Parts: sequence; C-alpha cells; structure tokens
Amino acid sequence: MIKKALYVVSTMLLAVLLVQGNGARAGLAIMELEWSDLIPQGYNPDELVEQYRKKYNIDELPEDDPHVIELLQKLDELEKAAPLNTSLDDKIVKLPGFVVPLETNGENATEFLLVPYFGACIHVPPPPVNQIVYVTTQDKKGASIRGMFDTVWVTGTMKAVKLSTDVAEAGYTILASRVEPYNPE
Amino acid sequence: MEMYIFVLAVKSILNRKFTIILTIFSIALSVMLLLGVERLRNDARESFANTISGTDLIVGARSGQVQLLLYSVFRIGNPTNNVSWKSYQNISEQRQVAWTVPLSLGDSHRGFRVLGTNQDYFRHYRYAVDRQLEFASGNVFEGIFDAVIGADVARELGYRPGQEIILAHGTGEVSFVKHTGNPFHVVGILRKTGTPVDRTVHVSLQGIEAIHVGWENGSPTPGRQYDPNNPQLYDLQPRAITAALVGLKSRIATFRVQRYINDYPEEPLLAVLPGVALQELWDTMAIAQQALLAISVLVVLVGITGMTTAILTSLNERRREMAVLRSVGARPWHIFVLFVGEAGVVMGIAALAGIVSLYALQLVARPLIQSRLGLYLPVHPPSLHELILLLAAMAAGMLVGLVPAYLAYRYSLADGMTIRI
Repeated sequence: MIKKALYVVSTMLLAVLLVQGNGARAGLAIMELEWSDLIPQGYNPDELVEQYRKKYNIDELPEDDPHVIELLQKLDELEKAAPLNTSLDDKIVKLPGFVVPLETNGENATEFLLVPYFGACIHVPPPPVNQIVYVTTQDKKGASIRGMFDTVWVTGTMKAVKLSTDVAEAGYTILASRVEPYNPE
Repeated sequence: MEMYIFVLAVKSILNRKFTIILTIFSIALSVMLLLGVERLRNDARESFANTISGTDLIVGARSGQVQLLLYSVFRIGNPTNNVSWKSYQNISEQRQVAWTVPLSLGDSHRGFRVLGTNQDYFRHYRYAVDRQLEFASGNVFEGIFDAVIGADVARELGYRPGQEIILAHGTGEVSFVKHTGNPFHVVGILRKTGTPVDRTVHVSLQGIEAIHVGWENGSPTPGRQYDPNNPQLYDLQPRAITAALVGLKSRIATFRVQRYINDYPEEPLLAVLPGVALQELWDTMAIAQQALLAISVLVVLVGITGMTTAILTSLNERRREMAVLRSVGARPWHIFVLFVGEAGVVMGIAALAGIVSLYALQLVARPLIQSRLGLYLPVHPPSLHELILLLAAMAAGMLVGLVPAYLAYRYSLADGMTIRI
C-alpha cells in the first residue's frame, strides 16, 4: 500500500519535473534563423515604388522629375537604414554563415563577422548592416576556423542594437556559446 | 634468471654500440626535423597572429592585401607607394572612424627599420590580443629628434635613453647615405613584445620630414639641411605616409569603411582587414607547410626503416647469442620481448635526443630567424600536439620492431640451444 502510494507520488513528481523542464526549454528554445529573418517583415522597397507608381504615375515621368528624385532618395534611405528585426533581441539563435576573421591567435578566432555570402567585397557594395552579424565568442580561446571564409553554425545570444550611438553602432551582435563547422546536408 | 637476461641484453647492446649509436643518431635527426617543422608551423602562425590586434583596417597604396599587411606591420618587403596626407586626413575624419595611426617607413638605423608615426601609435597599437605597448624606461617622443626604440634594438646595440643615433636612408643593413646632420636622441625604450616592434626605431613624422629636407631630387643637396636653430624656415607637415592603422567605432561598419577606402576617388588606396589578410597568408602557406610535414614524416619513416634494417642484419650474427640466452633459461617469448624492447629503447633515446637537439637548434637559430624574418619563436615546453607526434613516431618504431622480434622468436624456437649456421 505504502509502496504503491510512494510510486504514484514519485511518478507525479517526475511528470511535473518533466513538464517544467520542457517548459523551461521551450522558453529558451534555440531559434534556427535564416538570413532573411534578419530583415524585418515591414521592410519592403517594392511597396514604396508601387505607392509612387499609383500616386504620380512615375513610369511616365522624366528622370529629373522631383517625384522621381524623391523616390530614389527614399529608396536610398531605406537601403541605408537597413532596419533590424528587433524581435530577435535577447533571443538564443542559431545562424549559419561565412566567417570573416577579425581577431585570431593563429588557429582560433575570438571575434569575427558572419556574412551570408562568400567574398563579400568587390563587385557590389558590401552587405547592408542587417546582413552582417558581429560575433564574439564566450570562450576566451575562440572558435576554430578551418580556412579563409569558413562556413559555420553560430549559436548564441542575439543583440539587436537599433540606433547608432556614440558607444555602439546599429547592428546585430551574437555572443556565441557555440561555433561549429557547417556541413551542408 | 630475468636479471641475467637483462644483463646479457645490455651487454649485447653495448657490444653493438657503434651501429646503435648511428641508428639513434639518424632517428634523432629525423625526430628533430619532424618536431621542428611542426613547431615552426604552429609558432610562426601564432607569432604572426599575435603581432596585430585591435586594428580594424590597414590602409595603404593599392597592392595586394598580404603584401600590405607584410610591409606595414611586419616590415617584410617594401611598400609599393605612398598615401597622401590629404587622403589620410579625410579617412580619419570619417564618422565611423574612431582612431587612425600614420606609419611612415623607408629609413633605417644599423639594420633596424625606422618607423615614423605619432603619439597615437603608443596609445592604439595592440598586440597579442589587446596588449598595449609599455615602456621599460623613458617615455613617448615629444621633440622632432626624439626616438623611442624597441627592446631588441636597445639590447643588441646597448642603447640607453640619451643615446645619440644617426638614421640612414634606405632599409638595407648598411647604407652609404646617412642623415648625419640631424642626429636623434633615444628618449624611451619599449618593453619586449615578441613582435617586429622590438626591432623598430620609432620617431615622429616631423622627424622623418626634417631629415629629408633638401632631398627633393632624391639625394641630399649640399648645404640644404634642416637647421634646428631656425625651425620657422621649414614646413614639417608630412605630405605622404606609407600606411595607416584604422580603428573603427563599430566593427559592424568594417565593410562599409573598407568599401569607402577601396573606392576612394582621389587616389588608388587599399584597405584590408588584418584577420582576413592573415588568413589568406595561412591559406597560401598551407600547401608548402603540409608538404614539409609530409617530407619530415617520411624522413622519420626512413630512420625507422634504417633501425629495422640494422636489427635484421644483426639477426643472423646473434643466433648464437640467443642460444646462450636460452641456455640461461630464456623462453622464446623472452627473446621476442628483448627485440621489441631494444627497438623501444632505441626509439626512446632517439626521441629524447631529438628533442634536446631541437631546443639546442632553436636557441641558436632564434635570434637569426627573428632578425631575418621578424618572426618571434618562443622556446616553450613540448605541446600536446608535439608529444602526440612523438608518441606516434615511437609507436611506429616499436611496430616495425615487431618484424625482427618475430623472426628472432621463430629462430629461437627452431634453433633451441644448439645452433647450426
């Protein structure tokens, strides 16, 4: 009798613990991101063009028309602003990308930039701010890098700083708890 | 009984000491080569990586990113062109730029390179993951003819603060054109860093300008040199520098500033990320390094094969010895163990001798490598990686040693105590 009661109680306890454990894990679930997730949903230059098209019929206007210039300026601003997806702030995320080493000790990098494409340099302007992630490793030893433009998975806490200030520039930062080689399936 | 066998085994080795010493010598050399190559590979990488830290971009005339890194930071090779002072000013005024340090190269003092810069260099230059330059004695230069020297310059030339030095035009070990008219005074000596800074004489940009007064046509014009008593006669504002170190407010802006500099319309400039340039350097050198490592592994194998050959050749001569061993009570497996043990002892002594000679070589070669290549190779205890390599070599030796051991075992089974050769 006592044995049975004990059994029931311990099973219940175990169940509660399991549920709680799951709950806790769900709260800190690792969000696996793609690079498009870093661009906020509202960000849509095409929409702006469409608005102008409807309003002023810009396709018909000459290139030096004030409305066209205004549109180009606004597009430019939108491009430069490269807004961040602030819902990612403080989330634990996992993101794949190319490593651009900043601080290395020869084998390992303690600080690097993560970018979505290889050789982000010559032909086109560099990726906008919302397509660059600055990664620092929690481990002082840094993460092992296999070569130039290595591909890795970075897991860690994401910070999305929205406005540039004197101390910090707008952009994404990940404090990485794990950096592992990326192997395409 | 085992005691007898052991004593006999030692006597047997002593009897063949000449062959064994030669074997040990060849394996020790091969082990030294293997460890040396491995050590050079790792330490060179670390030494390079430790030379620059905290700098976001290096800016220079357009060339290659590795070349720019090598001449500006490691003082290896020569600059391709200058950066105009105007462009440098413009870059420092960019909103994203937190600090810049100008670098001006091209002169030397008794084989040590002279670097023209300003006080910001001592504030912003970092090495070995965020370590700042420190003064062993004296202080930062203030006047036009003040110089701050690196630790090795001070040690090798025996300089102290107050020492008068004369800079030479060009970067060779010797120069036939010296800036004799305008001597500099050592005002500070830096602490050892293990980087090319140790081998550099630092002076102000104005100092570099002053010693080149009258050099407009490429050689000194007689009677026209900087006169310290009439400083108002001269405009010491530099017109060009060799390269600049740039620190940014935010590392996220790195690409944007890099793009800005690479697209600079006034003159062809190049901005490189030190980490990326270093990585490119490794990737270029990786093939050569792997080839070297492969060769040194092969040399170790040759050494081990030599040892096996020596043991195998002695096998026939030693059949009598084995019979004697059997007669004092050794079993065939004792013989087997003796042969493997001999290979093990030879490998062990050779490995030890290899390590010792590696350290000896390192001590001798270190100053040379440092002065020729600017590479600082620290003397440190064997790393885990090196120990694993060493154990692998020893295991390979023992493994190959199994062959003669097995043959000896077979012989001693067949021959027993009687022997017919």
